[in-house]
Amino acid sequence: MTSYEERTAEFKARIDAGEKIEAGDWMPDEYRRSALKFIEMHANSEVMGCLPEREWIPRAPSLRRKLSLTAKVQDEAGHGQILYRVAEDLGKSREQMFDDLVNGRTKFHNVFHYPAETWGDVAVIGWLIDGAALVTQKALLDCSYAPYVRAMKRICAEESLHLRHGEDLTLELVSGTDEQREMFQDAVNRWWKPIMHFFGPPSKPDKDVLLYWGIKTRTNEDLRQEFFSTYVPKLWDLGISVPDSELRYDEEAGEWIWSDPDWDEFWQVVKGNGPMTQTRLFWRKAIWDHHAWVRETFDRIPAAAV
Amino acid sequence: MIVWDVLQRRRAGADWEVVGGVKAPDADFAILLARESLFRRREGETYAVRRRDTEDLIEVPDPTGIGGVIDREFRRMDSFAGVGGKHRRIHEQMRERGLVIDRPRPPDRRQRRSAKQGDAEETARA
Amino acid sequence: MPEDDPRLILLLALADDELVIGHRHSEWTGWAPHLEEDLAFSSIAQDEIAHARVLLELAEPLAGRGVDELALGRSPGEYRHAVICERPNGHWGYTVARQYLYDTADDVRLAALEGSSDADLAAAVKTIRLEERYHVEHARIWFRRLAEGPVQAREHLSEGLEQAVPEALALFEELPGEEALLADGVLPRSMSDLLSTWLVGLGADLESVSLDYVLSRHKRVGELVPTSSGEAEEGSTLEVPGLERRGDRWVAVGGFAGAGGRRGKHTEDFDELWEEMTMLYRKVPGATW
Repeated sequence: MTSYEERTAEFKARIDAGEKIEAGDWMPDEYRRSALKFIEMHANSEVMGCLPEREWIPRAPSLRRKLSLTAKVQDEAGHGQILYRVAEDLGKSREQMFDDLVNGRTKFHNVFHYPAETWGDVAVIGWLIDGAALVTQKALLDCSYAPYVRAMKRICAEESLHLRHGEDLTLELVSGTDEQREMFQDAVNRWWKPIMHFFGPPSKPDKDVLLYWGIKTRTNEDLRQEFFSTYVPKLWDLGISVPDSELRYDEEAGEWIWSDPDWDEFWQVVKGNGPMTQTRLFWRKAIWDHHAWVRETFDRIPAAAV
Repeated sequence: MIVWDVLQRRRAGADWEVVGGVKAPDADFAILLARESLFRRREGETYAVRRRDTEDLIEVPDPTGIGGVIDREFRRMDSFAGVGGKHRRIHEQMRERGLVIDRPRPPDRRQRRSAKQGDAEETARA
Repeated sequence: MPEDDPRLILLLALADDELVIGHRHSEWTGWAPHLEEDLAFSSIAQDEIAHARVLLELAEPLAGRGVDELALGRSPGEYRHAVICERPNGHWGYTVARQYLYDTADDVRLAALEGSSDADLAAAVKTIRLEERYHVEHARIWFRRLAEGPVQAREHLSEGLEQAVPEALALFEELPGEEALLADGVLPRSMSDLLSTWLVGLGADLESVSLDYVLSRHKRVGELVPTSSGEAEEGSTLEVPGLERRGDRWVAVGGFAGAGGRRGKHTEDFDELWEEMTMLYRKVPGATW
């Protein structure tokens, strides 16, 4: 027999050698717990992420936009479907995960705690929020957990489409009437802070259990810097400003300088006190509770033939 | 409830591969639910479900219409083709209007390389 | 717009049904009560809206207005969908009942329109029907599951059916100008003829799961049409035929009276829907999005 400690050391050696872990493989409890928690939060974020955008499906200003926005939100729900399935195989049922989510026992990404006030928000979510998400999701293609990597390949491909969709919406607004340009600028102003929060506070790599197990492979700050380099010049080129007067690239340091985006608000949101947290959870929970009978219809053996 | 693995065949004669799973009370429902969850872009030429831990594949009876018969251009990358060019054109307009924001940014070369990389990756995945 | 062109009226009736029910279906996207079903229903919504787009493209030259202008730029009274399409989604039992009734009825009329003398319409309908097969299949699987499921599911379904059946009949309200459409074969069979075909299938389906009491309970209405807020407005829209079992089949008794969706008469549910659906389109005149 091999002791838990020895097996854990062997496992860690596999990770460090770049090997991938499959669902049926032995894994240390800490690995299972961390991977499950991480993927569950990702899945939660996909389904909660449907809510701000879905509000604009009924109001989309053309049939083409109505179709592409519906399909886009559908993709996000689809990512939830795929990710919950990956998480389930780590040992927690989707029913339990949903129940924990709607009752506020688990978390979802900070950006989905904010309202989507105008069509400009739809463009910002589609381009910049999805852009931020894609930066982090591409980094997950190197994750040590193989089923998650397979899911992320498909998800990243669909997210690349969403990004185009979002950029297309943006370009239409910034080249449109003054009112449309203002709509977009206003949305960027309101969303910038949540986007900075999205990457999380600068973290200490040696304390990060997700980095230790190769579930994540890049640090928060590294990802935020990549986001700046990809999107900020594009915004400036369109004459759209970013509400951070410090923001600039420092050539000598080879990195972007940015100012502190009020981490108190971030921690409040993480605790479930975001501007839309309670409303969104209320509606999710209402549908979940009122339709318990639908789940029961699935679970039970059908009644005898009528 | 029963867990069903969902398998696809990319093209006729290819091997079946597991691409996901659904929970459903019976095979009819599993096939119904798998369709728009995993094949709305017709990712494979056909698909099947298999009750977890059993061998029997149950194929979708008729794959016609999966992914739509009428073109779903809004689900495809190329329906947004030209976004890059549009961005450059609007950038020029903004320059003429004096609206472009000129602040320190990374050197062009690096920018171009990473943009190019991004495009290549997007094309590869699309 | 040449409002009395019977072909245009037919196209708008078909397109508006698809657009408005597609709009309602799309409201489930992102929070349907079951995740895989969220995806299934969203695709159905997208299909219906895409079909509306195809039909509005055919209407465009007759109306002299573009597709988006037709979809989002008409006043509420210019929409010709049946009232059932505009009702809010309610609970999942009503949603399934309505989808089942709508898509089986749609299938009957599309089958007939495949033989339309209007070649463009016939061709469009053939393609649309290939996609509608999935809707009917979806509706039938859910219909059967709920009907045969736990008693609560069965009750939700029968409640949904009782609410939706009277308004589903009005999908077959006579079209303004229908005689001319029949005469030149654009519409191969009359609406009342299509209604009889649909009722035979509906009766058989409901009897197979012992839910035909829903049909017996339906009264010929000079009836009060309930609004979504639960209030009743007298004769606000349309009187629909009664239903009876004769021999081994269900038939309609009496005809329609008054004016319904096909003549642009809608309920306050549509006022709200229209307000929301068109608000951004109307907000910045001349803008593109």
